[in-house]
Amino acid sequence: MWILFLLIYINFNTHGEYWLYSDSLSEHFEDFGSISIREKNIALLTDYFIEDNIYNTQRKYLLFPSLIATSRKMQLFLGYFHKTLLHGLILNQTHDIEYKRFRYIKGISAEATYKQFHINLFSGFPQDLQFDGISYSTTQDTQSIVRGISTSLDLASINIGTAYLRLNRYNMPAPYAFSEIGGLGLEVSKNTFSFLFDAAFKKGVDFISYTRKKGNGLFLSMEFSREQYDLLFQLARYDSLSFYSINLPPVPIKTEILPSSGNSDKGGSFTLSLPHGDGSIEIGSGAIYSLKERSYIHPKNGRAYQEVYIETNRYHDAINYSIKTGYEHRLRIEPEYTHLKDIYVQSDIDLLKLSLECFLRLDRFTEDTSKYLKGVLNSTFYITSNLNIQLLTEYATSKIARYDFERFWPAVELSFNIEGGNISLFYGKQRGGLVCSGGMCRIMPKFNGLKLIVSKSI
Amino acid sequence: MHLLFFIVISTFPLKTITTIDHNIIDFDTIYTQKPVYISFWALWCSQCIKELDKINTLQDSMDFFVIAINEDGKRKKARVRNFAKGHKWRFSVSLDESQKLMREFGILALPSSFLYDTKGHLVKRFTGFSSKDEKNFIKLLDSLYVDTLSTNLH
Repeated sequence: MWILFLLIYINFNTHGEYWLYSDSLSEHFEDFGSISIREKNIALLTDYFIEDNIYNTQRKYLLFPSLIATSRKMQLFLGYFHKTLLHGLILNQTHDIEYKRFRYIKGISAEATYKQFHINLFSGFPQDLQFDGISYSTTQDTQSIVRGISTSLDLASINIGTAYLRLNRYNMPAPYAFSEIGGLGLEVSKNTFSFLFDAAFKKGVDFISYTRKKGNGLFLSMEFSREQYDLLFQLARYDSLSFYSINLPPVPIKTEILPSSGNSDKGGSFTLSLPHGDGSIEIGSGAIYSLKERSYIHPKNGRAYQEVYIETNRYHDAINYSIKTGYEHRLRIEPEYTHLKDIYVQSDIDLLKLSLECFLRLDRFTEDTSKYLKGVLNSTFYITSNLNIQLLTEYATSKIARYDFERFWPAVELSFNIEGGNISLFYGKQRGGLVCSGGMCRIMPKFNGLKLIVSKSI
Repeated sequence: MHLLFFIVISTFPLKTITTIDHNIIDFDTIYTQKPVYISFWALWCSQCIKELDKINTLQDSMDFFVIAINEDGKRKKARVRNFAKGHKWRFSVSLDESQKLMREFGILALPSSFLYDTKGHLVKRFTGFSSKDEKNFIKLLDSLYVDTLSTNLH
């Protein structure tokens, strides 16, 4: 008689949202979760997604299962997995929780490590699930297959990496079906200095002229770190580098705006952090311009973004606070204006003894010729250790088209912590507008109504 | 006749992890000696940053190991390192480069943090960290020290 004991680890997580729009009484429901079962070296896991709303004729039920086998020197993925190559310059199929963009590759991936050398081979279909503000859209892209290889060599303080990716589109005529992107990266880290340089080269297709189109990209980051300060410089130049949106080049400025999504961008930034006593000061500046149109000199076609800011933080037993003030200049980032200039001051204060957290922000916008102010005040009061109430208000002094001619957005949110999770109930208005993350931007529609959000882990 | 027994347990989920400063942390030797706090965070998540600032302060007076796993992706590696140094975080920061850990831990929202005792058992999962949570966290850690001390005495 055989008796076999298997020690397994089971994990279940779920995050569900129910929205009720107060004006139309239409509903939206989504639930994203994961179940994993893990034995010592083998894990079986699946993400699942359910969506039901008025804009879709059918409910969406999606499963993203994977089998992961791990040994000391090898790792094998079968099913859905994530992948980033050369800091996103070549490939970035990962989740962005804030932006509600879930990206996978469905296929097989094998990774092996021998001493300091690491190699990865993979093949699969890129698959995306993305929220557009109203409902989710899926790109179950069975017409495109990606195959790639990456290597890295980790020496004491030097890392050298290479990556190559080939995309085969079965729905394209043969000469234009193949696109390639490859690159190399060098990373040097010493105690007080780190240096990162990535270069990528693309051979793609111009869909207007159906000819071969070359692209390239460079990303450079340098950091000097001492006890008294940390200084970071970043530079980037991307020319026709966007690879069917499955790569997301690094954004060299703090605000996540890359006006041409890696197709025609150049820019850079510096960030100086000065830790002191119970807090820190951060000073930063950055700018991105269109590559070809020299947009700041000839602003007719180009798009550009500039930022300058100073931020101070202080941490104390009784009070934590941060104050930030800055200036932003957007040129043709959104269609409604040419120039948008914003001078702002914001503060985050936690009065820990009073169990009160406040966030304030005041913006002075100059949108082409019109000027207006916009203020935000969010207060969170902790009633008990597991229950808090949040009052959210936002007010603009002018009614402008981008905000649907509205100027007051009040809301209230009640949050309750449960064992391994959280329940929150939101009621009120949320202003729509531009949301940017990872260099990609989208216009979020406004919301007015009720939201019930439940997260739970077992 | 073959009998198959499944024992569902909760064990410490990490073996080793490489920090953003290229140090390798071996958890087999750490989690048996002191409680371990694993926190998943991102630069855009202001609640996560508040939580880690508080944890950083708590480490002055309490002995527990902290690893902060960043979910911004490899694209923001330098900015993450600059941020951690600017905030004077004394604990280790690691980058979940292709979100393997996020998937293994089943993270669907941030902040998400896990406190493990010296047997590798999950004591509590946090989905936020208010000032009230801080008091509970201190009590919880104190109780773990008492448990560890009595185990060692036996």
